[in-house]
Amino acid sequence: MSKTLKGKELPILVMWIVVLIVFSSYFFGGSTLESAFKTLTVDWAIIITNIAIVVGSLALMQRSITLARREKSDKVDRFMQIWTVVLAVILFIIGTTLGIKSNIYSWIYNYILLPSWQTVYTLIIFFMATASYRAYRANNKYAVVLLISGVLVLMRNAPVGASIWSGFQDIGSWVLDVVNLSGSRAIMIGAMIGAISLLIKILTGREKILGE
Amino acid sequence: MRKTATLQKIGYRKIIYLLVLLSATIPMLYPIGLPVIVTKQTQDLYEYIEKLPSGSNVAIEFAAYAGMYPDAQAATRAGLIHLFRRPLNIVLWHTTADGPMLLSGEMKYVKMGNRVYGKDHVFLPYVAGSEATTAALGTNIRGVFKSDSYGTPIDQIPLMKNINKAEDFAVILVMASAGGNEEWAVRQWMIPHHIPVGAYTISITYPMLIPYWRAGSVIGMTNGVRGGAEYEALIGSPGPGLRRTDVMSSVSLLYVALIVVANVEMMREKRPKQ
Repeated sequence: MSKTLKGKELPILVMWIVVLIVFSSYFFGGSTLESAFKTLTVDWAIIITNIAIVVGSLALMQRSITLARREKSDKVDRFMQIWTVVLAVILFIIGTTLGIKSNIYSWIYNYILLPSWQTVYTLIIFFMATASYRAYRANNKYAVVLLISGVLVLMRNAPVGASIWSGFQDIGSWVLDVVNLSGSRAIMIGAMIGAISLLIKILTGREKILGE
Repeated sequence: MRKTATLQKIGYRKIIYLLVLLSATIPMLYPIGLPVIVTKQTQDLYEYIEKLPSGSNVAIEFAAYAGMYPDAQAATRAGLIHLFRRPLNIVLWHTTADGPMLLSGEMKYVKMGNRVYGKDHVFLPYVAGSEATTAALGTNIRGVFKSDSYGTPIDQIPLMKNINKAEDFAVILVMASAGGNEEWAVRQWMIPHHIPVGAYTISITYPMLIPYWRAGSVIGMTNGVRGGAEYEALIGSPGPGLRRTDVMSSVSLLYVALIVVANVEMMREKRPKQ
C-alpha cells in the first residue's frame, strides 16, 4: 500500500477519475454527473486554492525572514523584508476580524496596496522605452519585419498615429486582424494539441513528473 | 576607432528615463485632446449592448487585478455606466479577490437612477476556481453561489428567481481581465450554451481575442486605455481613458523616436571608416 502511495499509480488513478467525470459531464449530463463535476471543479478548486494561499503565504514569510537574517543584506533590505511580513500579518488579522468592507481594510487597500501595485505596473513604460532603444534594431530581414509591424501597431494604438497619417490606423489594424490572426490561431491550435498529448502522457503514466 | 553611440556614451538609461518622465507628465499638465477614432471591435461591443431588448439579463464576470487595473479602468467604468444606464438586468460576480474593492470604487461613478438592488441588479461574491468555475456557473449558478455579496440567500432575491444557468442570459461580459477569462467564457458559455461573449479588456489580452472576434465567438472588445477612451466617447461620458490618451500618444511617439535613433546609430557604426 505504502509503495503504491509513493509511486505514480495513485496520482494517475486520481487523474483518471477527474478526467472521466469532467469529460462525461460534457457529453452525457445528468444530475449525478453534474453534481460530481461541480464538486470537483468548484468545491475542490476552492479548497485547493485556499490551501495554496496559506502555503504560499507561509513560504513567502519564511523566505523574507531568511533573507532578513542574512549578514550580507543591508539595513533597508532587512527592514523591507520584515515590514512585508508584518504588513501581511496585520492585513490577515484585520481582514479576518473586521472584514474586507471595514474602513481600515479599505484604507490600507486603497491608499497603500493599490498605489503600490499600480506603480510597479506603470514602471513598465520606463523599461519598454529602454527596450525599444536596445532591441528594435534592423540587424537582419526578420528584425526589419518585426520593427515595421511593431511601429505600425504602436502608431495604430496611439491616437496621435491617425492624426499624423490615417494609413497607420488601416495598416495597423490589418497587422492585428490578419497577420496576428493567422499566427494566433496556429499557436492556439498547437497549444491545444500539446495539452491533449500531455494529458495522454499523464494518463498512460509516461509523464516523468508523476512519482519520479 | 569607430564613433561610440551618443546616448550610450552619456548613459542612455538615465536620458531615456528622463524623456519618458517628461513625455508622460507634460501632456497631463497641458492636455491636447487629440481625437480618438473608434475601432470596429469597440463599436461592435457598444452597439450590441445598445441593441439589447429592455429587461435582458446580462452576466458580468468581474476579473480585475489591482496591478493591471490602470489599463482596464477606463473601459470598465465606461462599460458599467453604459450597462446601468440601459434597462438591463445585471448579475455580476467576481473571479479575483481584488474585484469587490475595485468595483466599489467604480460604482461611485455609476448613476443608479431608479434602480433597485435585487430587482434589476445583483452582486455575487468572489469565487475561486478559474475556468472550471465558469463552466459550473454556466450549468448551475446556485451550485456555486448560495448567497449574494451582502449575505442574502439567492432564492430570496427577486431577480434571481428565473436565473440559474447560462441560457437565462442574453450575453456574458468579461470585465478587466488580465487574460484567460474571456477564453474561458468562450469555451464554457459560448460553445456549449451559445451565449455571446463581450470583453472590456487590457491591451495585452486584446490581440489574443481578435481570432475569436473574427470567428464571431466574441461580439466585440475594448483595447486597454485606448479602447476605454473610445467607449467613453461612444457613451458621451469622458473619464480616465480620454484623459490618458494624450500621455499614450506622447510616450508612443517617444518609443518611435528611440527606435529611429537606435537604428541610425547602428547604421553609423556599421558604416566602414572613410
